[in-house]
Amino acid sequence: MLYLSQLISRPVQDATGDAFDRIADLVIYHGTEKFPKITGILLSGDRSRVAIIPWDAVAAVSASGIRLRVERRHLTTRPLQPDEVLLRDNIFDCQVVDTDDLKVVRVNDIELRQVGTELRVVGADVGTRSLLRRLGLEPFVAGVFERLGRPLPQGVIPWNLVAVLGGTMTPLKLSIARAKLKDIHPADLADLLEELDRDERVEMMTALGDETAAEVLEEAQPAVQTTVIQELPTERAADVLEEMAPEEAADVLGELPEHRADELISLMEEGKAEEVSRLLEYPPETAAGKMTTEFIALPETMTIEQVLARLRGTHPDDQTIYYLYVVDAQERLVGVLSIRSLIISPPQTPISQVMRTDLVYVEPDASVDDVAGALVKYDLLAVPVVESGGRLAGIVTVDHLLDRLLETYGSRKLGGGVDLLRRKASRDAAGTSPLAAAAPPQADNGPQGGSPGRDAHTRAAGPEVDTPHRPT
Amino acid sequence: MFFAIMGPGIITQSVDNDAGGITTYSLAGANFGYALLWTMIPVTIALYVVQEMASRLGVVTGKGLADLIRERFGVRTTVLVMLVLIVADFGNTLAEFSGLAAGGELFGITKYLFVPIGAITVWLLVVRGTYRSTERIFLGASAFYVCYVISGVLARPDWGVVLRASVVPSFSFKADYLLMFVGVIGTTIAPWMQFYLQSTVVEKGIGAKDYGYTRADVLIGTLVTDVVAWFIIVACGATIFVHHIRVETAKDAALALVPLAGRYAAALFGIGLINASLFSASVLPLATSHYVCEALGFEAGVDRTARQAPVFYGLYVVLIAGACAVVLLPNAPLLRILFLSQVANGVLLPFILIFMLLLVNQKRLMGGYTNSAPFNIVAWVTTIAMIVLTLALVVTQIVPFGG
Repeated sequence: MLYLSQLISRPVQDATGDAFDRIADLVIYHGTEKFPKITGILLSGDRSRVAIIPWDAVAAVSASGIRLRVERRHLTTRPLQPDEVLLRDNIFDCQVVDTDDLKVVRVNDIELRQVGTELRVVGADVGTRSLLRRLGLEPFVAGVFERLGRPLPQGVIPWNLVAVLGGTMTPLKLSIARAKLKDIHPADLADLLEELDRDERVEMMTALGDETAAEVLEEAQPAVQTTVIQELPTERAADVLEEMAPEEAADVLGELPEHRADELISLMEEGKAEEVSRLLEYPPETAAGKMTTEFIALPETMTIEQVLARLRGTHPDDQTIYYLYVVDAQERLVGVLSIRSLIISPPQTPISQVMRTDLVYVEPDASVDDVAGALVKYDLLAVPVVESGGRLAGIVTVDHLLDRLLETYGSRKLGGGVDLLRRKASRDAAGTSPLAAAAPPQADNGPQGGSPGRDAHTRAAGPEVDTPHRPT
Repeated sequence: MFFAIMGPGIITQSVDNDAGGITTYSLAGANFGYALLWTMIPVTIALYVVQEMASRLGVVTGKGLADLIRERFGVRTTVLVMLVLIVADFGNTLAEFSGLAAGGELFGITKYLFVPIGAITVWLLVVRGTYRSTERIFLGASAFYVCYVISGVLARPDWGVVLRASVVPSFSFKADYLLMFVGVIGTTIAPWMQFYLQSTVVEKGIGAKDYGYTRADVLIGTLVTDVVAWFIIVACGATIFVHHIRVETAKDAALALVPLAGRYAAALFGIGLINASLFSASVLPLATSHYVCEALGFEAGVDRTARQAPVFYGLYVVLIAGACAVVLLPNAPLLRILFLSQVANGVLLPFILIFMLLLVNQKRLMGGYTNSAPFNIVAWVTTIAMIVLTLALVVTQIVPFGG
């Protein structure tokens, strides 16, 4: 086993045995190989020009240096190729993503394995042991710990689980980053995003598809959301915002300088842009400021069968399907249809016969605390926002509000300490799709029905909710 | 509105005017009158240049200073720089808790009660994550420094003498003077500030487009800090120095506020000192743990548990508990600790400046944003001056010269 730290500054001999220079860096081709081959050497003397000696010229390599098979004067150098990466310059001491443990880690050393004259990168060393090795203290400290009966762990991440971000973005590099990140849940990607540097963030968000990028951004902290949107190229930022839920996009845009927000909105697709602009008009800390306009509103004249047909046709979002709101011809909220009724009622039943008419709703200017109170008290997954004329303007989902509330009350710990093992287990079990293992919330609760999940809310709240009744 | 326009530069400078700063400027005025006033102009220029470099590094690279040092200079250098930072910031943390102790004593509260309460308050503010909401209170209370401006004017100094002393340099090789000189520079241009400013710029996601704004922000912050420092020296020179009072405790230092506050001067000074101490104690040790962990690749952040980030919390606890322990020693010379910690900052500053200069002049890193010649000159002169002053300081400690 060789380490990059052992090779750097080692002498390079030519065929005549003349140690004419030292190793400054090694080059890998950043391709699809799991354990990439070293493709070239950069010598100290060539460092400023970045002139690479191809690896074919190598006769032997060991911890004491490299011997070349040609004479010095016959050496030819070539420039660095676009998809080549300098190990020491671009990876050594830099941050990478551990796609298995879902952490941003700093590379203390790079582990190489030798097969004949071929040298391959096999792992990124991120443990304390490698840090000590760089300081020249490894034998001593490791010895002490061994004597104490607690040997230092190795801390090597296999290279195929390492995602290198940042630096020049080439199409190949982006596709590799996409492949490495594709199995990670957007919420975990959001955590990683928060820890990455600017360039790495931009690369991650560029590598991901618009839709995933939007999901990741929705999950990120507000401060990170705004910086990421500021850092992305304008076109890309607009594309990502377009894919986000309108209320999430509006939240992000509301934090940006006005001219920038206007610029981004003008690049968004027209319908979405209008919706986002409208949401931006509302004061942010009210029901209207937190609501989404993506909800299901059914005309009261429909039958169960028609509703089912419509749902199958429109593929509504998982966030919005749990409540089916029923409106009259003037878009006024008249009732809500539970999934339960939808399933058990005969197909020809008009929905107006099975919907509930005793509604919990909030007014557009209700405070966020009141909205939260309503959701908590009545165990709802979402609460409709109804204008004074009775028109259904939008809904506030518990999901959207929960993030904001946790932020306000500073409970990031809830997310920070979440059991990684469970997430990992679900990733493994789910194979390709991390989402498959996520338990869906119980879907058949009516607006005042049982509990929406395991979350036992204890927070006392006294919402101003209009005449709630128990269903009969 | 005021808070909306506050950028990283102004916030950094507000944290910089901490207990160590107030004390050092007070002692400078109280012990040397206006003799050190002239340093304010060159120090202001140096401070602006250094802070501008730090923010430019942040804007262009999108990375913190500790990260850059690690990525460009490797593990050994990083460990060395981090040790320097830990030593300097342990001194600063000591200063913050000494400031708390001294402030408490002004109100007749024993430090054995006040310092532990302060430490717990800081811990809760930081770990419970309520710091963000309290930051504004701290910043607002920083308006306390206006008191020095008013008090300085009310003390009716001879403005002719003051202005002359501000522009005409004078120098002495006496050990006390050199110590004070290094202390004044060290408290104004502290090593941690460069890390803090650069990180804040990065966190705010300021890009090259908005850089003009950040430059203005840094300039305003620099000017405000140094105007405050100038007035503290003037106020102390016009009140304490002229009466030949030897400043031994915070009570003596509070005399500078008598022209404004009369018999409430001690209380006013106490509140200012406590606010400044709590503010900086909430920011500094935590920031230090962050930089060290990030540079060396340990997990960091208050959103982690102690089990996930043992090094981060370990270092944080050591800084705070260690500082408290020293301050709580019976008869600990609080003002002396406050002052000497700032001298330590000055002595350690060149280590950081050298690496900043090497980084900011790397073309590969900075592209078209490397230092201009005047900036390089100012920064190198500052670095070399600090090294020379430190050497002179060492020499005078061994060979009493002219003293």
